[in-house]
Amino acid sequence: MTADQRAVFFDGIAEKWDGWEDLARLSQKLADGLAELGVRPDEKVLDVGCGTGNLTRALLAKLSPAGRVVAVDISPRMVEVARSKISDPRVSWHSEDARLLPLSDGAVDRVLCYSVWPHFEDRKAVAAELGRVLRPGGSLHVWHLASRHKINEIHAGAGEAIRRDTLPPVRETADLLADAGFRIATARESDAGYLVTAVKPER
Amino acid sequence: MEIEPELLEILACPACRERVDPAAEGAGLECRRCGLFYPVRDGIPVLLVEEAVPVGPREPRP
Repeated sequence: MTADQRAVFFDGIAEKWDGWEDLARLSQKLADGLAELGVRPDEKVLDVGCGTGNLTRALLAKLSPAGRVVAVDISPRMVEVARSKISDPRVSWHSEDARLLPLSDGAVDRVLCYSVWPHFEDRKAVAAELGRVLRPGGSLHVWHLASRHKINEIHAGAGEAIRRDTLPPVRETADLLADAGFRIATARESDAGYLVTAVKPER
Repeated sequence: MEIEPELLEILACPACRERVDPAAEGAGLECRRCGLFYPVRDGIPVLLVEEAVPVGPREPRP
């Protein structure tokens, strides 16, 4: 399936998405997770695959007035839903493909790919683009709050556009990011979640 | 809606990846190098080449 077909699919479920989440529980888990990832108050963070903005909101709660979030999703409808929930001058909203981001080189301190990695068809191209916009020394996280097995099961039973979107084992994701020039800091998965943290080497 | 200066600083034209500036006219951002105007709709800068409006290259700022 192409990026366009995924955008149409996610446009179609944008209004329903938050109804499927336990938002209070999710927000607590996201807050705890961000603390563990070591997000600092003044960072500029790219939230790629922002969806309905639940992570965007958790990030804003962690950041100081000097912090910034660039929130991107391929589905314009998802971005609209997120924007209707969040009014904060520290965010900029974009509906773009992760392979071609409207950001300058080294623009952000951190990249969060939360619950989106399976949907990138050309992960090599995405990794290269995320590496370009990340500053040297900055971290990229591929993050999920469910097990790989659970995520793949959900996708397998979902619409045609995302049915074959699978989350690979952490080792495979780590290898791909290492090939893209990152240093791997963390690669772990369990029943509770999935995290690969990759650091862009300092020049 | 105004785009925060700190955010503007990190945004780039998707065509040439040079910086974009607030447009001289209209609600949007423009790339002076490519001569493309990117609309800002409801506060969302639409930085898509397909949606950009050609305005002709301008002289770079001194």
